[in-house]
Amino acid sequence: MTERSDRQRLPREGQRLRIFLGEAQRWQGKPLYQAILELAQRQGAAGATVLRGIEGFGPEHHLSTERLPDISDNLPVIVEIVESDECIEALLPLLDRLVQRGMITVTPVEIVYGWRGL
Amino acid sequence: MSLLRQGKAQVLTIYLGESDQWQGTPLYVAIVQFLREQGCAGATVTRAVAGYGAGSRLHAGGGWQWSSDAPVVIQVVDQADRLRRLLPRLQEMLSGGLMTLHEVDVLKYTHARRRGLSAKLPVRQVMGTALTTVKLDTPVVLVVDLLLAAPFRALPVVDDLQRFQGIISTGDLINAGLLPMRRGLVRTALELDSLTAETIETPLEQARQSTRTAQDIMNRQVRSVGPDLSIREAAHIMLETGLRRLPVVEADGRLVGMVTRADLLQAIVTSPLMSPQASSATQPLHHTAPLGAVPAQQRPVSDYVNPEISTVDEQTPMAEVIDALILSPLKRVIVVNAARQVKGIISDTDVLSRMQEEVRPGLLRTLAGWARGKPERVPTGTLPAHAGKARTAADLMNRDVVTVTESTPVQETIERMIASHRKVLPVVDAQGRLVGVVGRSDLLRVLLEGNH
Repeated sequence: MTERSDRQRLPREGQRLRIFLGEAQRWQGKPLYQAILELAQRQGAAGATVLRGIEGFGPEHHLSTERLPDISDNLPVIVEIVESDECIEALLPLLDRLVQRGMITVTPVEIVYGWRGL
Repeated sequence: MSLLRQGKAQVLTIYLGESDQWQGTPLYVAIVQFLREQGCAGATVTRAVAGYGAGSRLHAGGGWQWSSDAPVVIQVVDQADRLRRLLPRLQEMLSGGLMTLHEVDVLKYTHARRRGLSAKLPVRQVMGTALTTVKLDTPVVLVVDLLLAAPFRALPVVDDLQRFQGIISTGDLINAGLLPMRRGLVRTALELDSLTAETIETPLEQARQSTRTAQDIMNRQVRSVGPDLSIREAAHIMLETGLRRLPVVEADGRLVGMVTRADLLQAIVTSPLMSPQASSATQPLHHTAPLGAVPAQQRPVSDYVNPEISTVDEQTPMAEVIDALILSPLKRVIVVNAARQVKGIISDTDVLSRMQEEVRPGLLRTLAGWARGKPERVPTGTLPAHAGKARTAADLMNRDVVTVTESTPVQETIERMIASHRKVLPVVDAQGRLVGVVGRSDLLRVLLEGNH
């Protein structure tokens, strides 16, 4: 199997980082989830996925749902990043500053396939 | 140094179909509502773009504007104990689908009110939205059966345009002569011996003959609130009026939700991590410096204790226990020993289920009179002192008492109340001596205080 030189295999043992946010949360004028994506990219994380929820509630017990237009302005958003322990470790203090409200969880995962870079 | 706090929590992941239904509402909506009611820290529903599995069958009914058949995933991060307690009910609700549990490290969880309670939160963000309603012309037969079977205690009545018209509570059924006494007693009685069940069945059968409809028995003089009212004001209204629930109505009259005392209390406790005092299994959190004044939910429960309690000792005769019970505003008496240590607690259902079979109908008639506002002393003659099992408080009491100490923080007290399904907790001092009780209304006062 040939490997492109600009690609780097993720380690087998890694972490899945999940950040639970509200869609309406902002950071310096832009959506917070976008700021997190940019941060992850700057830090060289292999990738990040933003999932938008259709309903949910969080620490303030706010219900938001796409079913009721009244309370659909802050739908839940999950940002997922799967990376090496070191990369996640380096991201955390930065995320801590960005995420004023929300939840951050990590779980060990076995990365059976995954690359950094194109 | 990072401010990240670390603790273990569990992630419950539920896979189901978006069109799966539960009692007339989309199943995922019902599950989210249930999780909120149970005081979960949070839940997120995401919709997949495609998939297959036991939970995503084609929904034949149609009609819902969002009736796609996409798989949806509900994720809940919470305390293991709380999730395990919810599993049986969730399994009941899921007819197929999949649930998984795994452990995560919660590195950060920002409690919304770590600097005090967010008492300005509008009620629409804590209210229940999966409502069962009846129409003006719904027969009372159906209303009685719905209220007897349902987890909720009041049915809102709406017109064809979903505009709020009134409410029917179990109290209204009692006033209308359709329910002989409070629901908990009726349910208990129906499960006891046949003679006791018959005492209840007869009036219920009469109620089923009624040709009246919801509009004949509903309470029209109902205090309703708008969705933007703060939870502080809602708590204030409840405490001032004694109401236990408020319908939430839009300016155009549409009913959009109901807010209960439990909803307001659960807005106070939402952490996925057990408070360190509540569980020794939780890893200790990093110490965080107190930020000025102690938030109301961290204050000791002693500030909210109701000292007016009815107590009896273990040798108190049954007739006196029933007297004390009828006079007690909390409908509970606490059994203490000579040192005022709590030995047990007695509610009317405890008396009913633990007393001799032959005297149960007599007690039920007394309680029925009491429920209709005709308090009468227990005719002691009908409660024979002859040989029988239950003669004193010790025979009647429930020994499985959940207590809190005076120094227990309010938040943990509410957690314990929710976890144990108790509405009233005895409060004891460091030596285990009873100092009072704390109920839902007492704890609601937390919302009236604290930061603005």
